[in-house]
Amino acid sequence: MRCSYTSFVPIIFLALCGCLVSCNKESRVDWAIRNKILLLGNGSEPKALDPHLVSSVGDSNILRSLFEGLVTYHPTDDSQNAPGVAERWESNEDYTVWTFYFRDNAKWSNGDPVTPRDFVYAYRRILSPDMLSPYASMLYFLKNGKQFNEGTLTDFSQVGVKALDDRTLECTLEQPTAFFPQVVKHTTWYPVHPATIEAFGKNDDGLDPMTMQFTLWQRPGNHVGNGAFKLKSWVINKSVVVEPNPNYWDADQVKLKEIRFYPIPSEFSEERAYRDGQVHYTYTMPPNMIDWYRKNDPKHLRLDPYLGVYYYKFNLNKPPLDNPKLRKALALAIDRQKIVENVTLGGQEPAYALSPPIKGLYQPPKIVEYDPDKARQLMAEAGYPNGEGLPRLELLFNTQDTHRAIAETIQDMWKKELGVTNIGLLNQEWKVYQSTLHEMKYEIARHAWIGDYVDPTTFLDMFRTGDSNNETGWSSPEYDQLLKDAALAPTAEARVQILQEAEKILLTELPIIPLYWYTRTTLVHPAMQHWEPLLLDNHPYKYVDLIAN
Amino acid sequence: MDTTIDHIEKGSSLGRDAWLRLKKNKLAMVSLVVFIFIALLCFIGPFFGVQDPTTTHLDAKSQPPNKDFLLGSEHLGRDILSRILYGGQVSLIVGFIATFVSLVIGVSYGAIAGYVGGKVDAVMMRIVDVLYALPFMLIVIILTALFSDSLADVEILQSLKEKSKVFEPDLLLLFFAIGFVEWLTMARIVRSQIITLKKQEFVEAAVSLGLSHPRIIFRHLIPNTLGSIIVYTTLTVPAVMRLEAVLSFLGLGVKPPNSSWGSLIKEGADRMYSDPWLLVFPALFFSVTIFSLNFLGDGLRDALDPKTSKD
Amino acid sequence: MGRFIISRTLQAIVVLFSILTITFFLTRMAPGNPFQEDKAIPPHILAKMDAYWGRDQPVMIQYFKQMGNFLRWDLGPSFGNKGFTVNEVIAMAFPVSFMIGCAGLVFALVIGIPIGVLSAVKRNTGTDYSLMSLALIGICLPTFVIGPLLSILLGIKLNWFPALGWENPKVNWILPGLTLGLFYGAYFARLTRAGMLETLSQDYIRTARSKGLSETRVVLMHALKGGLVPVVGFIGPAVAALIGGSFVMETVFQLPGLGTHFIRAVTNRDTPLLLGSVFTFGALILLTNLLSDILLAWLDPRQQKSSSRAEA
Repeated sequence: MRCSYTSFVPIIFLALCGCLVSCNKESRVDWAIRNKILLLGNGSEPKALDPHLVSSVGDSNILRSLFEGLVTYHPTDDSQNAPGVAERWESNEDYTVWTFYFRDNAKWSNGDPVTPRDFVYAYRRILSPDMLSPYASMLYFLKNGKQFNEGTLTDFSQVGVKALDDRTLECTLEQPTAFFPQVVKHTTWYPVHPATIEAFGKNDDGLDPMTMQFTLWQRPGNHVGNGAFKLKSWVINKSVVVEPNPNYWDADQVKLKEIRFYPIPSEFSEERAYRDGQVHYTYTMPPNMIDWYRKNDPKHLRLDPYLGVYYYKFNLNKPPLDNPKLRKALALAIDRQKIVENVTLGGQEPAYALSPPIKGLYQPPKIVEYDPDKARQLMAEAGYPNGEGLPRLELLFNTQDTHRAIAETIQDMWKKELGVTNIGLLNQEWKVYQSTLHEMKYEIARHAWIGDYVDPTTFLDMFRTGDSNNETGWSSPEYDQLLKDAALAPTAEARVQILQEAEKILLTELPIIPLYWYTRTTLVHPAMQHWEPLLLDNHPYKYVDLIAN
Repeated sequence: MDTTIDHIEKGSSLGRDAWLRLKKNKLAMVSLVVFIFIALLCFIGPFFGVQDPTTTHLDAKSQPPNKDFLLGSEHLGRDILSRILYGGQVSLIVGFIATFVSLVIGVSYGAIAGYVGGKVDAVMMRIVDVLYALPFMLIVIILTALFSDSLADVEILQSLKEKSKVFEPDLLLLFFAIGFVEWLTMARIVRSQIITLKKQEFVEAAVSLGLSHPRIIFRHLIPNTLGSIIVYTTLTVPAVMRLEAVLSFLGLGVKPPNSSWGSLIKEGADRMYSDPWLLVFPALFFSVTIFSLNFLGDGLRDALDPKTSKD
Repeated sequence: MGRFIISRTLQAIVVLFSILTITFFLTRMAPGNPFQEDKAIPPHILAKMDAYWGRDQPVMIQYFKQMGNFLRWDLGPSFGNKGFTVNEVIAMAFPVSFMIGCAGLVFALVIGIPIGVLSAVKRNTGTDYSLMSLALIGICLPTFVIGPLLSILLGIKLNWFPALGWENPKVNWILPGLTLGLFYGAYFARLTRAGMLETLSQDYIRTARSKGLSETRVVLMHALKGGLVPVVGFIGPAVAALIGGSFVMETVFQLPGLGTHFIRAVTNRDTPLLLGSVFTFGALILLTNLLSDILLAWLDPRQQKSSSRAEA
């Protein structure tokens, strides 16, 4: 047995060097709390630190620390607005012209004052067709914004944004928008520092410096923002580090000394990082661990409401999915309660409509429900009693554990409730999935939508005829008209009613099956203060503090 | 030296001798029995009243082993035992066919390159280098996109699919894709051995006897590298099964809600902290199979080694 | 030797060129638009993006442009990271993967070869069986099992090492290196044993034994060289894979290495980054295969034999 001793040598060696490293060391999070450094898990690597080039949630989490919009996020309630660069704002009577009055101490991180002209420059930049901004459509609220972005209008002075003087910005909108201050909180409405963009955009090819795609302005040292923090370092796939911006107008409010954003794409690794004391906050977490924390360590687990919906969409161009009875039968046969309780596990709300309910603002109509008897009856009426004669249909989703688990469950539910046996599951790699979806080659596909601002139209607008996110082949002139009417409604109550009417049409014809409304499932370190539940999950970092307890 | 040649030339007696020697190797025989047992369990077991592998029981999800679920239930309440057995069918078929494909290609390619040498060898091995460096994942994505639909329309495959619970027309693509990468290292290993062997006296003797090159390669050189070939083959089987799990992630291979050992282990690894049995049982089946294959391979190697008898 | 290396270098240029060419055309065959995102991008913007990157031009022109970029050693920016060029991305990631890969290789050699030699010498004894079983565990448990297992056990439970991350590279390399080492070490052990068994039955070993040399000396001085031949055939691609970065490892241990970029480049259809990664990996493969061929020439038992003859 001499050999067995030798095989222990490396293990003992490892243990020794492990002990040398680890003995009496404090965990990273404790060290970070002492130094007021916030360590955040943040999904995937940011595409850019330029507010006009990004579109993902993780990217906007970083940008929120580096920039500030006209209006900014409220620390405890996303449906409220907090003053940002603008001290106050007002609109004309029909909400088509908005005026923002700037504070006089708003400064860029290099000390320059933030002026309305910087905003005009920024809006021109993001709307320029050459900017190739993936999310420019957020600025279609501005009058002629869409035309300018599509290149049919080249004179930017006709777009509805104007610097009235050094302290006043005026936005003229395409149609009445009472919730406009909600909209301008979004990353796409952040300003950029014109001198910096121009200086780094200089080129010998005669291209406009403003719309140059790849310049060094996003680098640490070059980056200029107007947020509570400024860029300290950026190492790909490792971290983005920001530190307080001394020139920020509300710098006294800022309590943290540093924030580090870690791109951790795997939820399993992220959860381990949390348990090992490497981050204060996880971007998301695996469903099986939600259950585990609930039972074993509930004080770290946070399940906050989140303005988003998970749904399946039908391709109405592919028979037999053009048959509304079939669609309805499939929708009624799904026991959503069971799915949220057993599969997604994060306290999600079963969704019976597209737009989630928004407290004090909107309550979606309830037409769809779980009703297997009615579903069977509809199935027979559609010509497929007990699922007989139904041609094979593929249910498409992109490769991911939760998507697969949900699809497997629903496939089984349809089998049990409706006798439908030939639903195939098709998992595709992310880009293939996207092209199948956008080219409408799918039959049934999973999709999800996270709200950009707190208003039901962020969801309902998707299913207007011709909207690039519709992709179901469904079109209802009545629905389109109602959405137009809603904008012109005289009162907020009337508007809500019209929107509910519109959603009723959507839910009667069911080009989609809503499945559940999201929650944000995260692990939050107890030392993190002022990290309140927020509907859009847009936490303003300037209030956040770390206090050991 | 002459004795060696005689020995190998008498192929039939070699086979019988080898079998006799193998029978004496207890560990190898136990391994053989264990392996056959597992294979039978996977292919015949499902006929003896295990649960349906795809039926979900959401009220009984993530349960440790109990009387309803002998090996526990997974996150959707499906029976682990039946998922392991049905998954074993896929994994064993894929493991063996793909390994066989890579074995045949790898051994002949490597042997020819090593034996001929010179420019031919250089060209052949540089082709291997190119194939190593190509982004395999991208090739799989393209293969799936191009052929998945057309394969699904082939009638024979359709009827096979209806008869079997686990067969998907895509599996053919899978064999191709896996065979495409797995032979490369085999070729390198065989080549490196052939290069060292070909200058030895018994090869010189064979050449002087006027034996043809293919005969020298396949009757004299390859048998002398059997040891490494067998060992690497037994190493390829688990590699192939693992690769299958990765590919099913890209949409090629086993389609949900079906399972394979690789995908079960992958799912279990993600949940090892909260539900360890999800990892333990699939890994156990997988490991026992690989263990038995390896010990069987070692026994086979000893039995086939013409020199052992002389020791 | 000089001529050998020159000719291999020339071959390498041809090989790299073929790799890049094939990869380029593969990226153009793959379905999916690199710029499309979850929230559908308006078609007029998408078309402009394609035009900006020259993706609307004939494929051959795109191809020559990319190759031109290669000759200028500047791959330009990647589609995915709008702040960094491909050269920078790879330069940042390579040292990490290199460090982990070397650690993995050292662990693998230290674990694998002694186990392989010992169990070949003690063939078919309890020692042999238990060592080989140990090696087989390494083979049966893929990195996505060993990785999280070590991370949970040594990282979280025992708190010897950081469970993951790259904040403190001085200690962060240990667990990933060990994970890779266990996995590849198991392969090395199996292959070493096989090679050793083959060598130990060769005539020149008998000659050495009959000369009355001690068994240790026979094994270490004479047999080991020949016994490593199958390992060397495996080691080239293995080292390239180790240093080229493993996506699974980098995901499990959250490392900013090359593997992640490679996979991301594929999943995002990021042609420049993919070409850069494939080039790096191809160059590694060529280099390690060259080294392993040189090693093979050095291990060739014929030299051994002639020297033993000379002694005789």
